[in-house]
Amino acid sequence: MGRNEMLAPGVPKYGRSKMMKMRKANQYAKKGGEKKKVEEKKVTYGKYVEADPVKVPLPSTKRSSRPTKLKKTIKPGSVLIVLSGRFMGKRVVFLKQLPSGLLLVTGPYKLNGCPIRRINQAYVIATSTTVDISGVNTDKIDDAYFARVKEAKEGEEGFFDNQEKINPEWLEKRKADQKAIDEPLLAAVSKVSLLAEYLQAPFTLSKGQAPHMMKF
Amino acid sequence: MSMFKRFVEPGRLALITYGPCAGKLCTVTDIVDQKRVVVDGPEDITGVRRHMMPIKRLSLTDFRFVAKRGIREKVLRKGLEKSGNLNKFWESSWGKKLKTQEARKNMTDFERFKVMCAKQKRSKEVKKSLKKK
Repeated sequence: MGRNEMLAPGVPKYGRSKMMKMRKANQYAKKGGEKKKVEEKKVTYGKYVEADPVKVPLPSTKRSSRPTKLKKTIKPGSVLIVLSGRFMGKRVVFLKQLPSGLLLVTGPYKLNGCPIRRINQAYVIATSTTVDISGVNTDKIDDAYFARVKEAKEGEEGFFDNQEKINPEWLEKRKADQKAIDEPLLAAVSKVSLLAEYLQAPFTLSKGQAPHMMKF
Repeated sequence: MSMFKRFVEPGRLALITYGPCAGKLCTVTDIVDQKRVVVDGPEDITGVRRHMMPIKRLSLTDFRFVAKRGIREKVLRKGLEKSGNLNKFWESSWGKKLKTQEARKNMTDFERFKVMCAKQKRSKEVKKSLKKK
């Protein structure tokens, strides 16, 4: 290009109107007039601009994952009524909310057969009754505790074995943890009259009772 | 021998049975016409503001204190306090019934369980004593 130059591929320095002006000026010059110089406009930059701007990614709108918001009515030690699953109808004691958002609960096992378990708070009615869990230590228990146990056994034999056997070590550990958590709980429960019987009894609706009209 | 014992008159304690103030006590303070009265349980005592109400919404109680038509709040408060009508009402059998109804409605799950246990215990005792006979 003669008068023009490319600043970047496809971006000429002088646009159409400027080029026209320069052409015209040159025409007059050729005819004998003065060459009109097209003054280059001094470009003043307001602020410093990078010659080669680095692409900055837009701020992420994703939120860092956090556990689901706990219902206001659920407090550590609350008695919860389980609404679905194997322990449907049982009244269990809420211990803490795990990082996955699920609730850690226990029967206690001796009272209603529910072990240390995870439940989703959507499948639970929170009652206003609470048990004193100050003596209970749940630090060891998190989501990884409930991961499925895989025994590394190779081959077809191993495959069938895994399906039928429960690892005895794992079972013993579970029993020990259950006992460690339930003992202080049972002591606290026995202090309140009828609370043990309450946790033993399943929750039922009788004629005329409607959960939306009942206070829990 | 008079047929009626409870009259719509200033100073009469009444229970509101319908509308936004249902279940609250109030005192009749003035009479508008055959169908309407002005009612006031002083608001901070019973939660009923001074306003006009059809008599149909009221259940009259046995309790009143002597008052003239159009009594204002100060006199109303004095009258209620001196007569002790509110307490008298809650101690009457009607008032007690209302209280037990409220208690039953507000039972928690644990309380319901305890009531069930108590009922079972009572019926066991009854059956036992019947069996003896």
